[in-house]
Amino acid sequence: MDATVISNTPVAASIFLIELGLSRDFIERFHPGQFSMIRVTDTLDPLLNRPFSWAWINPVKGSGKILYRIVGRGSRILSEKIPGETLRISYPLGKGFPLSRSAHIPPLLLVAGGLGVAPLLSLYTSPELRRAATTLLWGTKDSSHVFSLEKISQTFRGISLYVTTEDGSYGSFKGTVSDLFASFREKFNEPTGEIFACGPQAMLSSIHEICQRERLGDLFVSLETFMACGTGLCMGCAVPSLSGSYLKVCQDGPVFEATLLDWTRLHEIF
Amino acid sequence: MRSFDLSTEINGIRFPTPLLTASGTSGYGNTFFDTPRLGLGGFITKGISLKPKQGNPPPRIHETPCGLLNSIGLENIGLETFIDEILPQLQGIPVPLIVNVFGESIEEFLELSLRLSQQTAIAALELNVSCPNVHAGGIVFGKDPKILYSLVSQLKREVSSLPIWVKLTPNVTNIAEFAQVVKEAGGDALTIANSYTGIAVDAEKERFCLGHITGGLTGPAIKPLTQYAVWQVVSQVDLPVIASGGCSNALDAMEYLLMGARAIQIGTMALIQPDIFSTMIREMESFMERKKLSSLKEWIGRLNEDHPRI
Repeated sequence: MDATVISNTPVAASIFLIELGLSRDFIERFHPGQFSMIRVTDTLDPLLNRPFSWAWINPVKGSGKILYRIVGRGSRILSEKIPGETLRISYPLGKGFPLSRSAHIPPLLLVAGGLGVAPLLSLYTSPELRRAATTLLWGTKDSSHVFSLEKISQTFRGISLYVTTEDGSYGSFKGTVSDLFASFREKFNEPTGEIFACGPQAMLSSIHEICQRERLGDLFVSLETFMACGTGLCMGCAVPSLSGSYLKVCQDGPVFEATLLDWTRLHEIF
Repeated sequence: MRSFDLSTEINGIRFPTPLLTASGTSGYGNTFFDTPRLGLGGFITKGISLKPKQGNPPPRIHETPCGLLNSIGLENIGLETFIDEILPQLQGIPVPLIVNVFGESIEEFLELSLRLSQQTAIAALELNVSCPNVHAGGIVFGKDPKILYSLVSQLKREVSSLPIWVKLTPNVTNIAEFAQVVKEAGGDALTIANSYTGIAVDAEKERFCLGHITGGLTGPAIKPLTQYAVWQVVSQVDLPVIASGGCSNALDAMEYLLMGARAIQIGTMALIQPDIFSTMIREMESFMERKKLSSLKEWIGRLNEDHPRI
């Protein structure tokens, strides 16, 4: 489908927020944690569509927001789109977070590394989840990568948010989000609910390790890989599962129960 | 607008349009038709092997300028699951069904082909001969004329009911020689061609980009190479040719048809533009209108008439 660019602005160092107009049909199909394939150019180079997670869906306005970092040619081209231009995008794809279960099992703990915060924020699109007790731990490299979540939605004004930066240049913590997660867990005496995490591979790996070591509740991780089709046809986005076979990030994920994945091989590969 | 005859015929099978899927880019067909695929002329399945295959370790894809390097490793569900679970769902598809198969020995190819020839709804088989023969020291079927000849001739002897298409590898010195071998062995049609072997290196991370190191290059980047291969074959070998390589729009398709291909497979571009078949057919119709053509049959092979062999 075609989506019109409503706005496309930088929010932090190399990080942009793009808002796209979406059809009612699209919004009704959306489930938090899902992504869309976006065609950033009509030319053949770069060739592939890019997968982007939705950070926010606004059913009233009929729009959705995507957070992205300029890392290569595709994202650079995307950053040059101006309001009024149209982009070819797919309908929401993949399996998102297991929302129906988690909405009834507070407290829910969200752990984000860098732009991994995007799919986690989309959880707050759900009114049930906004009412549930959730805590968001967010780690970034330094203060230049931190931005106000209110730029995405006013909804985030009231959430329980803890920010850490690796160099301590922002917030009251210094260290990685895995460090924050570990120390947070020590003080966290509530019954263990589900944990949803998204971020770099190494960060997810250490969150998984901590969860295993401390026998914490169910961990669900949202993975990021290269994709060609996004719909399960090309089998290009395979990740190793513990059973020895491969899972497709686009179709079996991007959100996986962490215990299904082969973390040792994931670490070697990505 | 006038109505145009876009149909094409290969081995007596009528395809409503000359645009077919390329094996491995559109799945098995059971989910592909969940959305209407207007403009599609035929469906070619992902490659099926006797036993399920897990495929290659990731990363499996790497983007290159105008191209895609992939090493999926022929991951597939295997013959039994294909016959039991997928084929029943393909009985009503609106276009001819071609099943792509590959084996690691002639016996495996034979068993696959025999079993599939007993099923209904299959119009033809396409052999992927770009895999190694474990009984012949790992030599790729499609890179050894003698092995290719015994494979195709035995299949033709024992599987008489289905046309056998052979998808040749372009990673040989002279593809026309292999095309001629297929003809002499009794093969029915040629898919020209499979992907080009390539690698990609990540200098930043100091490693190869693909888990399997080598991959197959596809996409618009390879179109001139595949067109050369198609031209070599159509100008020298008298078998129907299905072109497969880098076709990204209606003009590309018209070029392949002009050279003498009877049909074109769309692979990489269909991953990127799921509605490419209908878009291409619309554009092909306006091209035909401009060229005052009412049927593609007037166009196919026109270039061949006045040009010498290469």
